[in-house]
Order: sequence, then C-alpha cells, then structure tokens
Amino acid sequence: MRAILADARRRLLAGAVRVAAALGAVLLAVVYWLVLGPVALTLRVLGVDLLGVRGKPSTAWTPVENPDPKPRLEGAG
Amino acid sequence: MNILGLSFDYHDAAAALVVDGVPVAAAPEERFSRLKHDRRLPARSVEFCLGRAGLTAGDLDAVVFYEKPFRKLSRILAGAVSTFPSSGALFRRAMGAWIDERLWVGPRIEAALGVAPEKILYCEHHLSHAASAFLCSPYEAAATLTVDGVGEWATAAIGRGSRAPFRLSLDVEMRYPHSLGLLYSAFTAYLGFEVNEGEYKVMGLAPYGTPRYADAVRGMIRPFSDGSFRLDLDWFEFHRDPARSFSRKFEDAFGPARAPGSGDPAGDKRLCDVAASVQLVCEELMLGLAREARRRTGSPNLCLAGGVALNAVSNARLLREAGFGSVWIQPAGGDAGGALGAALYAAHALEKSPARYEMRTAALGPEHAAAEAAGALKAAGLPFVETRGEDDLCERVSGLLAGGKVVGWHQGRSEWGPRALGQRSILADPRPAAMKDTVNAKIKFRELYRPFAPSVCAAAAAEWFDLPPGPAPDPYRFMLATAQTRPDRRERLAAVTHVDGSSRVQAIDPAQSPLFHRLAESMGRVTGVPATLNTSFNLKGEPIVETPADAVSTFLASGMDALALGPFLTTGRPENPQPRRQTWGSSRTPPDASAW
Amino acid sequence: MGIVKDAARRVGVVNGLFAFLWRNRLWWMIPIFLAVLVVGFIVALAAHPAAAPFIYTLF
Repeated sequence: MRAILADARRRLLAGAVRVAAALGAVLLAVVYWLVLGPVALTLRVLGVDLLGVRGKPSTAWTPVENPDPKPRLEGAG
Repeated sequence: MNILGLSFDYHDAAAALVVDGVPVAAAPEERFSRLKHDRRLPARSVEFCLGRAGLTAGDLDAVVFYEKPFRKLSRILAGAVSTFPSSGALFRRAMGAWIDERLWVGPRIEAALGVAPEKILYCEHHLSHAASAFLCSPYEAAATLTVDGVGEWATAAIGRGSRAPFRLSLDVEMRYPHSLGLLYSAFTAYLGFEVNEGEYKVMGLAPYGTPRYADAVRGMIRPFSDGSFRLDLDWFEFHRDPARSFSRKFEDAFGPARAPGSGDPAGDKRLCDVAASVQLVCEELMLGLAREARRRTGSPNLCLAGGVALNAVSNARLLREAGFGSVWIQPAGGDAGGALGAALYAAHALEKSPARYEMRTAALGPEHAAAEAAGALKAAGLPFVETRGEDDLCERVSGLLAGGKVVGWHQGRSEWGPRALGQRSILADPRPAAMKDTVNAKIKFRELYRPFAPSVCAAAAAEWFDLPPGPAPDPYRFMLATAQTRPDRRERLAAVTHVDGSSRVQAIDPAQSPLFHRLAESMGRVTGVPATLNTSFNLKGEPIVETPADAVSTFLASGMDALALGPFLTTGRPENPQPRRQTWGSSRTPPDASAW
Repeated sequence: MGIVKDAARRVGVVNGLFAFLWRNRLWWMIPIFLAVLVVGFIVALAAHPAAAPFIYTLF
C-alpha cells in the first residue's frame, strides 16, 4: 500500500513539473511577444544600438571602470 | 584568510580554496561527479577543498563567485531584445534557466554552504580570468590578456597587474557579440564537434588542411588597427538561436556542415581546410590582441587566460611573435579557472599582506592513499605487485612502455586544468608511429587523426624540440603551447609528432614532478628518448579519472596493458571481471551555450 | 532551508537586480524582468517546491 502511494506521489510530482514547465514556456512566449516585443520595437524606433553592431567606429575596445578592489567584489551587479 | 572561489552554472563548475593568499586545493566538479563538463554547484569540489585544508564552511572568510550574474543577465536580455522577433526560443530557454536557477546564485551558495550572505562576493568574469593568470605568475608587474566566448559583456580584455602595491585593473574590453571564442565555437559546431568541448579537435584537425578559406573567414570580421574587431553577424546565429551558432550564409560559403559524429573529418579535405583556415585567423587575431596589450601597457610580461588561451598552437605563435619577453598562461584557462582567479583576487583585495604565490605545479587536486589504491585493485580482483620504491616503479613501467605496452599512470594529486601532466595519464612509447593509432583506437576509442603529446625531461626538451636553449618557457611546463619537433628527431618521436611536424610538448620539471621526471629519465636510459607519450587518463567523452577506483574501472574498460596505481603495478586481468559501475560516464549534463 | 527564509532571500536578490538596473539606467529592462519574475512565481506555485530545480531542463 505504502509503495503504491509513494509511486502515485512520484508520478503526481513528475506530472506537476511537466505541467509547470509547459506553463512556463507558454507564459514566457506571451511575455516575449507582449512585453519584450513592444520594448524592442520602441528601442528600435529610437535608434538604440544595444549590441554595438551599427555605425562605423574606429575601434571595438571599450574602456573599463576600475573601482577599488574591495567594493568591486560587492554585489551581483 | 580562507577564501573559496566558485564557478558554476555554465560549463566546468569548479571550486578553489585560497588560504592566506596561497591556493591549497582546486578541482573541477566533473572529476568527482563523473559527468563531463558538470556545471552544477560544485558541492563535491567544495567538500574536497575544505577537507584538504582541514576546514569547515564556518571557517570561510569569503566565498567568491567568478562573475557578476546581473550584468550577464542584462546582456542576455539586451541580445534578445535587439534580435527580436527571431530570439523567441533563446529568450524562453535563457529566462527559464535564469528564473529557475541562475538568478539565485547567492541563496544557493548560502543554502549549500551555510555561509552568511555578507560573505558572498562576486568577481567580474574577465577579472577572475586575469587574476588566475597574473596572481599565479612569477611577475612583479605584467600585462594581462583574457580571451574567451563571453563573460558578462566582455569577450576579451586587456589589463595590467602589479604585486606591490597590489593592483589589478582592466584597461579595455571587447564586448559581446564580437568574440573570438564564439567565432571559433561557431566553426567547432560547423565541423560537427560539440561546442565548449570540441575546440581542440578543430585545432588538431587544422594541420591536415591548407588555409584556403582564410580570406572567407577574415571576411566575417571587421578588424581595427588596434587589434580589436567586430564580427559581421550575418554569418552567425548564436546571438538569437539557442541551438545554432552559424547561419545559412556560412554554409553557402563553406559547403554543408558536418553532421555530428559522421565519418572521419580528417578524410574530408574541405573540412580540414576550413579547420586550418579558422585556426590561422584565430592565431592572427590573438596576435593582434596581444600586440595591442604590449603597446598599451609597455610591459615585457604577459599573463594569458580564458578559453582561447588553451589553444596551444596560437599560444606558440604568441610566444614567438607578440613581442613579449615572457608569457605565463593559466593551465585552467576555461571557466573552471575563474574559481581560482576569483579567490586569488579576493585574497589580494581583502588581505593586507597575502603570501606571494607562483604556480609551479598544477597538482592541486585530491591525493589518494596507497591503501585506497590497493583496495581498488583487490575489489576488482586484479593481481598486482607492490614496487620497491620509485626507482623500481619507473624501471618496470619504462620497461613495459619500451616493449610497446600502454600503461595507466595514477600518481599523487590530480591536475588542475584540462591537461594530464603526469598525475592522471595514459602513457606509451613515443617512438613508433603506429602507437598513435593504437592508443586512439584501442585505448581511448576516439578519432584516429587526434594527435598525442610528449612529456620530456625539461633539460632535454630543447634537444628534441625547437625550443630556446635553457629552461623551457613556463607554458611548456603545463602543455599549453606547441613546438616543432626537430626534423632529425621526428623519426624517433613519430607517435607524438603531428602531421605538420609540431608537438604539444610538456617539459617536466624535476623539482615539481620528481616521479614523472624520473620515469622520463628511465625511458631515456631504456630507449634513448627521455620522453613518454602522455594523454589524459580517460576514455572518449568522459572526465579524467580521479580516484583509484575510477582508474581501475577505466583500465578494465579499455585495452590498456598495465596500470601503475601509486606504488602498485598490475598487468593482469581479473579472474572474475566486475561489472562496470553504473554511474560512470553514464550521462552528461545537458548541452549548453556559453552565450546565455 | 525554510520556505519563508528562502523567499526572503529571493526577494533580496530581486531587489538587488532592480537596484542594479536602476543604477545602470537600464529602465527599459524593468517591465520585462517584472513580467519574467511573475512567470517564475506562477511556475513555482504550479510545481511542487521540491521539484522546482529540475524544471528548466524541460524547457
């Protein structure tokens, strides 16, 4: 009896994960088209070059800011 | 101070422990979990590092992650937004991974180690790489150059370091999507190899071809006079597709891509020529970056790290042509090395006077007692003898090697970085040309074209290979650069000389690797060549062995003739073979792209 | 780790992320991340918490 219950629980869990994953994929697709899309189009209209692929620069080097070592390590950003 | 460095969530998870400025232990998670390129939080590596130092997590003063997650996430989102509407799949996969795991680096470390949140620090990806090279180098001051696929935004960075007072800064960086590592990876995928794994197969394939596509490869790049460059994104898909890195235009120019695992790539002239072309362009771009590092910093010393710094052929050109007097390269150039760099940087940032450290050996992994080795042999039912000291061991093993036998060699602490350097190696006679095919086919079950490296006594290295007289440059200590085998010696090093006459030499330092050096000396006495063929102790697609038990099961699963496990030597097969352990090499972590 | 403690830590991370976006003037990313985090929350509720770490491999 206990084994059957455990097995049922495992199946239920696996099912829940699958359902959640599918739900996540659908919701992220919705976010992509309904939230990211309008932001992307707005930025495009404004001419923002996020990846640095347009224009005719003379170098691909970007200067780096160098805070003091200790504060530099603080924070995930 | 006790500082733990961690890298995980991308490729090669690893942990490194630095005590008062000195790395006491470092190892990638794959060696313990037996999953190649395991990228999960490296709990087993951490356990090993702490155990080695006799510490507990409570003794740690800081835990440093090797990059800044928020910056990386903002770059991924910027990429998805600028490639809208073709980045839908990339967005879904990347965000799925981030909301599920990657965003929560801090809480996950807290939960796994039980450390206080204020002890968790984050070191930028390229700063971690730069520190892994500079703070392991012998230099007072040096330029740093780090080149890889991509970290947060940076794909390459030039910096400078000084020891006293401590200062390590990055001057300039190149940013995603303009990346030498991602360019090379796109060709790796095109040639049918696994990205983040098969890059060295491209390098090995290149000498079979001629670089007749070099101009086409150069056409994908807009170079600037200061060594930096942009990629023309029409050729690539990595910035918008999670599963594909090159575009249709790419196949129009070079022909159809090779399906993974199909045929012998070395038998296809076109594929060899493509490999030769991208390798040549990679070398040119690396030289351009290195010369700019020299020009900017004026330093005679260069410290190199990042995945591209594992390209031994381009490293050799860099040593000769970039204009530096001396070059030091981190042996764990890839992301695993970031764990060590992050910990070393933090040690110098947080401590008043951390010890001065120079990495002379890569033996930072676990060591296993003789009793454990004997136990593993007994458990497998293998008959074995205990040798009478190191001289006896070396004499017996060199006798076997000279007789054409292939020997597994498991000694001391395992190596840090992807190269086997005489701690976890498969050894053979470097002289007969046929030995290369034997080891490829019967021992490692891998492609026949793949070359093998020699390990030679440092003092004799210049006699056999085209190296400057005197001690070999440091990168040769760690098998990080190639050299030409001297033409009059090629016949006697036929198994370890590639088709173009080159060889990825390891010069064995007697002070750091006395046993392995003694073995090479013994080979010199027996065969006249003070070297062995040295390849990593693993089978195709599996991590290098760690424990004696791993070594025994790999020995049994392959066609090796003998196994030197610590002081014990076995040449026999068991009466009743044990079944192979089920967990061993059974699966891999899911494929992943470095870009997200 | 207790669910409440874990939730508190995650809230801390989210705060840090938005502070980072604000500081770096990446305002335009804020609506997208808000939406993504709402999705994350819904998915976490839908799945059993114990199974949550394995979800993304199925995406």
